[in-house]
Amino acid sequence: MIGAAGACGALGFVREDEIECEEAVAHLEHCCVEFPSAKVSCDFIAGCTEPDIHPDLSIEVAECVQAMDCDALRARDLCARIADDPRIARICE
Amino acid sequence: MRVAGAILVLGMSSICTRAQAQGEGPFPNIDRVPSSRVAREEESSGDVRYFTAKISAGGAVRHIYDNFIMGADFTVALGSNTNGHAGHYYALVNASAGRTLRGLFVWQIRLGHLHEWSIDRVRAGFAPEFGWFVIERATNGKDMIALVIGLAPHISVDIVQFCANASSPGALYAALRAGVDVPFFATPDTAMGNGTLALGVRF
Repeated sequence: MIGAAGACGALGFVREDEIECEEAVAHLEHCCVEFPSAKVSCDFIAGCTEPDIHPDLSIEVAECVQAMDCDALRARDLCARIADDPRIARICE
Repeated sequence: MRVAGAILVLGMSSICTRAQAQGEGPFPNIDRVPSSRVAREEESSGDVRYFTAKISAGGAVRHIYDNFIMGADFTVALGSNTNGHAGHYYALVNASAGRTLRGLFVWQIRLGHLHEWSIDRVRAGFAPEFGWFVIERATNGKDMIALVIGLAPHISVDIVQFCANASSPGALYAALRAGVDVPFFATPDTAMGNGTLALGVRF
């Protein structure tokens, strides 16, 4: 029973994709005026009977956001692009 | 802070000086009227055990995945000291709080058992621990929570000993600990490294 609860995320993990997503959002909050943080979901929800729900920002996108300084984020208009579409897939190519 | 530390050291030195002048240690009841357990230990090994406590505070760094967390660390430990070589035992409570480099607030509470040995002014040991590790989200303010178990070797050096006799453990010390925490039900790559450099007082 405990194993099943753990597998379904009920006991709470600290997942890499969630941390990287939250770190990226914190960086966007710092760089972007009134960035709508609540619009982004960084939760991983294990679907025991349904497909898993992953954070809006993948690890790759989140790390890319964190690697940019504020000027670079604004120059690429990423504050607005991510606010409009939190599940943006490609920003670093 | 420095003034408080100086007052504490001077106060302890004063207690030790008075006690030594009277031919007593800082724990006169144990010296003069040993409990049955202490007496048994004295008869069997020559070691004397007595209650001890220590408090320390310092800076801490943690590492999880590719993220560093910088913060403060506070530990209270209560236990049993000995004037022999059998080791010292403590139950400890450790609390730390800090931020990731991007600003997420992180805190942790750990409970554990510390076992250490001393050679002159140096003490070394290890502490198996368990606790809660919490990161506050930027998106919705909720927490990411993990139950963790860990092991933390540590070493400390007495900078000032309040009374360096067989029955006194009193000291102002510097301590370095480095350990690993692993969340329950998690994969090995979630292991969290941690290190703390602290200043403490042992009574």
